[in-house]
Amino acid sequence: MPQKENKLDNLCNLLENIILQHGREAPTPGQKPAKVDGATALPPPRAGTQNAVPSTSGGLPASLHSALEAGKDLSKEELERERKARKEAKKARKKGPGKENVEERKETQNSGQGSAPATTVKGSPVKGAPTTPVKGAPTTPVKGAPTTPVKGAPTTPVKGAPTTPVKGAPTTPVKGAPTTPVKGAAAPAIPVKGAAAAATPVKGAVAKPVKVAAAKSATAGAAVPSSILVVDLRYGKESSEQAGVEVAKPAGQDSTAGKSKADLRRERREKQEAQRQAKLALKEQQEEQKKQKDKQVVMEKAKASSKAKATGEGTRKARVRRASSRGSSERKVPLLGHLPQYSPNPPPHQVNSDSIHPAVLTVGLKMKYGVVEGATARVISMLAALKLFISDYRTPESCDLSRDMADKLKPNVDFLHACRPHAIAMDNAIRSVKHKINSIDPLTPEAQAKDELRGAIDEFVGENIILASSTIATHATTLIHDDVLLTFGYSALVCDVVEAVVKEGGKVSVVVADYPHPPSGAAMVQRLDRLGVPTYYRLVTDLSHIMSKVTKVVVEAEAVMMNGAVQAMCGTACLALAAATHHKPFIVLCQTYKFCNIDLTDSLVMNELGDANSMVSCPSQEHQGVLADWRDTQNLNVVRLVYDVTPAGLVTVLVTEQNVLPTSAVPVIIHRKYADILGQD
Amino acid sequence: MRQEAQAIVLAAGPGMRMTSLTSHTPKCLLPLGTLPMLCYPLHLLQQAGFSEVSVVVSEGQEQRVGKMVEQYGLKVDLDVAVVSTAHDPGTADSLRQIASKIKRSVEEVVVISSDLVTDVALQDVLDQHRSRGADLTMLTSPTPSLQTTPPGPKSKTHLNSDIICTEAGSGRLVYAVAGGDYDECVTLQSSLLNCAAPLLLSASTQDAHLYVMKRWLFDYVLNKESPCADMGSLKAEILPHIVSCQFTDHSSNDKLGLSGAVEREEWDDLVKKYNSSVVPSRHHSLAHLQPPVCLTFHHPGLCVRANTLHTYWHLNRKINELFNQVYPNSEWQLRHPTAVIIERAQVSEDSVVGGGTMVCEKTNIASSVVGKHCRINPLVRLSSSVLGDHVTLASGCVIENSLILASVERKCVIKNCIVTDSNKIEEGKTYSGEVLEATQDFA
Repeated sequence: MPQKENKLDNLCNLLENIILQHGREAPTPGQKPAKVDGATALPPPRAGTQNAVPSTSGGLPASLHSALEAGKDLSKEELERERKARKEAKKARKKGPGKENVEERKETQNSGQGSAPATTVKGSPVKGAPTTPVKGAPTTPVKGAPTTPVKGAPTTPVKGAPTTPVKGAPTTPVKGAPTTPVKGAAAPAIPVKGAAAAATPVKGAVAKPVKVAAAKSATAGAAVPSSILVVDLRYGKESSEQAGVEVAKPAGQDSTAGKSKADLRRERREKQEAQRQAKLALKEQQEEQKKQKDKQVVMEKAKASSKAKATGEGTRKARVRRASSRGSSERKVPLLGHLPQYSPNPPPHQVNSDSIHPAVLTVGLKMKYGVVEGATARVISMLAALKLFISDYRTPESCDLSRDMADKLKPNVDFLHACRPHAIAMDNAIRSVKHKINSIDPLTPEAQAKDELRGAIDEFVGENIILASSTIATHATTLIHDDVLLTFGYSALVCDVVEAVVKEGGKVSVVVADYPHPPSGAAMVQRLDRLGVPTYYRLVTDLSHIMSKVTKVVVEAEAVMMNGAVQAMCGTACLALAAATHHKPFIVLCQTYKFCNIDLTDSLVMNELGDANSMVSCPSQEHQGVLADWRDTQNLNVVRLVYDVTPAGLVTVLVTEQNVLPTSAVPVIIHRKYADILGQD
Repeated sequence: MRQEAQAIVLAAGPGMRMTSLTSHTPKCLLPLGTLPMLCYPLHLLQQAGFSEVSVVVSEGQEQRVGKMVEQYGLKVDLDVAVVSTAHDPGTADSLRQIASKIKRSVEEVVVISSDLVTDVALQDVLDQHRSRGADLTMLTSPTPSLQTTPPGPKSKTHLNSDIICTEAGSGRLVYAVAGGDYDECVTLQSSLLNCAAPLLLSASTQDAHLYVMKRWLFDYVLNKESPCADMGSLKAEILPHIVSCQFTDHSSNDKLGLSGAVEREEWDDLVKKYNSSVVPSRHHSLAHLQPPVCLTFHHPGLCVRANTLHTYWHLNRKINELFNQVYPNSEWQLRHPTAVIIERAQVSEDSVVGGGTMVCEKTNIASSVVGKHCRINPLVRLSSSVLGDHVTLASGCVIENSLILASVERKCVIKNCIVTDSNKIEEGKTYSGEVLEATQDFA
């Protein structure tokens, strides 16, 4: 069973990525509370009204359109006012309005909603269809979804739907939903995500569902997605639930339950009902807590909140519009706004700057332009630059070396970060250098102190990289002998392992799975070729086929988290998933200096945005420029994440220089290794 | 603190391709727009953040060049070195002259010619140089096409473009010679063809005379024991030599001294081993690049060297349009506020008038450049012409498409002429298509 749960986890992560890739409303601070609401199944009045309006009024697309238009035309002051009102409302809600208020609101909500969900549930999408004369492609979303679950873009999801949510839904949502509704961090079973996904459209990520749908029916014209959007809006909760299900589809649970459609539908409804109730209960609990926490209640604010809710619709639309109409360069990808945005240009710098050492500048530029890639290479080149920085450093008269050098180091480190966000390994290396600087006795003469520091850096590289690599190779030979290995992209560490195995007389052959942006695996193939190892070069898209042929999967990690999750170049997690499916051991190589005392369960919280343009620029000439102007396409987001996270459960074994370890041993290593430094943090 | 780069402007060139102009004024001080030519490279360096610039000038010019910075509001400190003109100094001689002034702590040396007018951002060139780990970066640009015809007797306008061969993709420079030296055939070494990547050979690309060199390479070039020791020209001799060094086997060829001079970064091999980058550079794990790594930075935009009469004339005529590109963020105005233009004088929009100039009434100035402290008397018609500094045009002159660096007598008609000596002009005469310069023989 744990195996199963792990798989579920992975699916969740995948799901998340998919949602990500297709873009969604960013969890702007303003919306977070709303999300909580949604998760706790008060599909707030908005949803209710939304539902009600469309189901009753016939000419949907038109009205919606006009609404959008209206949102567009709202004057700025109005927008401003509305936003303020909403903010206040949120505050009020956070602070926890008085009991009566809450009661009141609940009542209104219930009444407002009571009818809406009821109708939707009873009326079900099928009924909704005739009443809603959807213009664009009314057939696909409306009919297709509920009745024929095996057809078309929006239908396919239904396949995965019955199995996944039914299992997970009733059990986990209670736990997952309220605590971590945004990221679904802790072992989030699918339903949670389903709920979150469902909540978003309700909340008025008006344009967003389009993206999910649009991306799915990539071939279909622009008209189809927009019509899908309309439908999503209409059905409110109901259809958005479907959206959640839709998202579940790609996770690839092919086990179609042999139930009839009606059964499916009933099941789904039951499950939804259960979820809703669970959420409601939770919400009540939360409200109670909030109330106790904060006794300040302002009636006006509550009123304002209700007002804001009424006007919220327009504001939301306006915000969506604004978000999409922002300058192409600064357009933030929804949900990924917290990550440092990619910029094609290096940070501004001047020749002969006083604060940034030229060697650091050079390394920064090399990282910026991708001349130095990979955590290990970046760490080494950074440390080489820091050594030069230390050599050229002169202590001013009135200062301690340790204090002043730390100050001088800061702009350099910041510059490196501005060029490209640090890899976790780099952070660790910097921390150890800083630690060394801080621990220098102020009485030490400058020359000696500098020697010590340079020596410490040499030692760091020697121990953690050079020695560690060879030790890892030795350890790995105990695991690998006559094998067909699968690896991903370029990894010097994997090369070392293969070399060691070959030296021991093992008969290995290696399949290098590669990803075309950038094709780093080509270099890997060349190196392996020089070793005389039979090598196959495949694209990672062939994974399902390759996996049955290989005996072991070996990859190098960029970082290993406290909870055993492995951060590696984007694409590694697919290998892990496929390996788990085919019951192939998944071996991760990692030097312990890349261990990190953070828990990470998904690829969202900590990641790096790469150059999205590198994805849309297709190497083949005739397809060049199809998506070149993607920044001008309103609803399209192209996202390139640099890393992904493989959950600990998918990692068979972790090969470090200390030993061959299970992932559960990571915290021990971290505590032992960083005892001195961690204590300081 | 270690410095990143130091800049050298080579301004000692005698202007061999425009001798009619340089007999009075050294080339680097010839007016371009209302500024001396040297201001342009200095401004380029200033824009990139250089606060100190070394300038090599020929004997006797150090005073004027030294004063220039204040005069034109530049914010760089000039360090002027002098090279004697006795033996017709080459660019390499100029560099040797200044070698002692290059600081030990500098990582890169930027060498730039005083006649370069370009809108390239020097910072980009430096960035590429550093990020790709190059030892030498050369700025290249398409050979400019010039629509204007210069004044003076008609001559074959021969723009010397260069023959430059680069590796496609990486932009690595594998062959570079001056096109003028090869009229019919160019011989390429067969070792060039061993480069895996396809090669791009272009005869329509010019070397813009802006080089960024690693310190060790600069030292090697100026080392008395290196094969470069007796080379006179940076472009014609030293550069091809450095480029060809990329293909020699260093291990067997120790007498060159290059392998000993090569400065390697610490842990270079280690970085190379772990690097998964696909960007071609010295750090690319597949790279077969041998030091010295020579790269080109191709700038497709404006890049003109005012080293011939033709380009000089072209730049002057177009300076009105180009000024904001090639001289950005400066307070200098082409039509200077201290110029006095009588209201009844007609000065067209595309004309440039320098500071302290007096334009009297009933004059007509169209698409022309008028230098500083000129005096244009009444009834002068000036069209498509360039006036130097301190030129007086007597009343009644008609001047078309001419380059005037000396005062002109009354009622002259001058068309398509270059005037550098006022003694040559008589009142009321008409000149066409001539070069009116001081002849040497009367002395």
